[in-house]
Amino acid sequence: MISCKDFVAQLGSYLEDDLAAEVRLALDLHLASCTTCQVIVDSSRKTLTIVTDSGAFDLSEVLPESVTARIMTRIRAMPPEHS
Amino acid sequence: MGQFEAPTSPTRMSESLLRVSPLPGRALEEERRLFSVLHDRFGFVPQILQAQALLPRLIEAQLQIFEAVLLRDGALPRWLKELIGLTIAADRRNRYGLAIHAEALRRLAAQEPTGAPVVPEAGELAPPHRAVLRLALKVARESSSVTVADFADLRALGLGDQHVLEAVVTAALSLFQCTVSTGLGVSPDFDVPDISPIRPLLTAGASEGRPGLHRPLPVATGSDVDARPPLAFLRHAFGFIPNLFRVLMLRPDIAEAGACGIRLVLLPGDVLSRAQKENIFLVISAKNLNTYCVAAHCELLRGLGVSVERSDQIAVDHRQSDLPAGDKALLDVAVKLALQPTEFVPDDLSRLRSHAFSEEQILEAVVMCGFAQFVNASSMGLVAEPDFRLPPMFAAAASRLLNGPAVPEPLHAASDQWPSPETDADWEIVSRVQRGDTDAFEDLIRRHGRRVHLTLAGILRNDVDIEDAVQDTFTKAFQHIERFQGRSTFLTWLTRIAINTGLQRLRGRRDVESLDSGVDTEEGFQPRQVQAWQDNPEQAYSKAVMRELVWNAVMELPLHYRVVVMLRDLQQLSTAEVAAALDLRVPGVKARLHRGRLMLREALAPHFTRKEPTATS
Repeated sequence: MISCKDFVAQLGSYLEDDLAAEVRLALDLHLASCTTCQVIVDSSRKTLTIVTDSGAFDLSEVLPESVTARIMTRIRAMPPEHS
Repeated sequence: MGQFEAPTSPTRMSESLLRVSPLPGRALEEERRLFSVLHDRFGFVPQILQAQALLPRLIEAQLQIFEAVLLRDGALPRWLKELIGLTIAADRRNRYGLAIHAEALRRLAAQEPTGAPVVPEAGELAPPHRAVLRLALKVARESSSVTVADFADLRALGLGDQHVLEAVVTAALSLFQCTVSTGLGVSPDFDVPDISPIRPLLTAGASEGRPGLHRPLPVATGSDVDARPPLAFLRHAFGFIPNLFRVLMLRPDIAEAGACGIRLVLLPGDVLSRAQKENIFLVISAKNLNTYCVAAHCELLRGLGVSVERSDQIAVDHRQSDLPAGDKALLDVAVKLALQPTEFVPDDLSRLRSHAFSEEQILEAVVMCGFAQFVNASSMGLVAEPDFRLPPMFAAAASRLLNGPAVPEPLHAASDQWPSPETDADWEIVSRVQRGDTDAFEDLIRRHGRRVHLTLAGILRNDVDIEDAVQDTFTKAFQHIERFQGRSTFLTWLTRIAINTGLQRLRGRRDVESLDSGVDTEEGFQPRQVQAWQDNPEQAYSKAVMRELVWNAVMELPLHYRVVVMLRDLQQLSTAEVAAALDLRVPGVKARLHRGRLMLREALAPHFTRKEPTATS
């Protein structure tokens, strides 16, 4: 019998569909009758969408020119290491 | 000061896991004296202390610490300290602590003419109180990840050093109490409250103010200070004055109470030997990755004639040491009690009895575990400077957990295929730099500077260090570009350098956050937010608000989850690339990622749960 605790322990693999068929079936059976785990699955999927789509890691900007210039000044003062 | 009323007769026999036989005459007299003090102080004798009647000196020590930290007026109001105790007890599923702190809050509320609520709702707490609670929870959950940036959050809200100190030490005391009550198996003194109104307090939100001043707490030094009572006593007992106590001198009475704990719990050798207790301290500190206490207790063991090699082995893995079987069992039980309290069972104490430990010895071991938790959480929570160097084996093991190598070794293939000029867009530019075209490096900075900056912002958070670390990262990459052989993409290689540079910088300023790999499991993780979410949560807020919510939630994750979530979900590197950048195996990355996402779900839930229709709508 699968408990909610067991379910949460497998949740990552469940969401990635990375489970043996019989394990997946057992989890699906639990899920069908457990509203708490249904909420957890649904909100975990939504969390992932929110996080990946948030643009919190916005790469459109570049470093300020001054920083780039400082780094270039520093490295021009030192030759690369030759092995 | 709230007086409790006794719900039960103070003479009721203590219910605990210890098998107590009638006390000898002198101990009985001492017990009567102490119980009478307790009765005067609280109006009843708490079970947690009744259960320690076999060794009155332990009760005396805890009484001093409770008095100084919790009961005496200080910078934080008493109700807030009780609320910290209640919240940490709820977080650790500790029924004893829940009951006693809820009762204290009830008594305090009853004294208020305004009829204040017993447990305030999270939303009703003023921002400074919420910030104090957030720091306390972090200390209780993962003191090794506390940094001066956490203090800055309190300072930004107008709180001072003494508030910081009291928040940390109160949290440490709650751990002490939770550990001892679990170890002794004592029954709650009062009804255990419903945990549901407390739950919202457990979801530590993001910091609210503008970041305040990043600086450690003041450290008391000078020959006049060293001659004062608790410090002079420590120098005499240890041969040095621990920096932790120099910080605690901000509240000399708390320093004094801590020293009293050392005098009455750690130093006596009449029940457990001093070395046995030092070993308990050492293993708990090592498992907590408490570099401060590991260094200090190896030194103290050296003073007792134990070689550094031996203590080093005990810190790294006591089971592989040459300790007798009984002492190994003692340390097994200590580690379980301190680190896995919810799995602790009465049979664990029976295991000690089978190794011929007496009831007094078992009692002292349990209190020693609590005291070690108290000192661990205080030292890392207050970000005390270490007094000594770490022993070499533990230092290497801790460094493997906390850092990778400074400059990456050539990678073992983390993915099935090595990148090629076709799959790595940087290949050609890197080749030019390797052939001596320094100017070409500028293109690499332009392509990846922002990414490196954000990676470092995720590790160092608000710190002004970020820009320096960006410069260091690119400088190191340039210096070692000859070593880049294309076994990973250039970006993965650069990310490894950025991460190692960030971690080294944290370590350099003593902000050691843990990259411990022993926590990559969902076991024991209990989702707390189980309300249904809205259908289209991504439309609930503007893009800008959404971005801030997510960034703040990610920044609140402990480091070992934060870095993985940042690389995989925010930067959208592949799992194999994340594994390569962190020198981890793919299953380890997946486990951390999943746990980190679950924690994000908890943090984001309050913003996205479905609003129940009200009667009027």
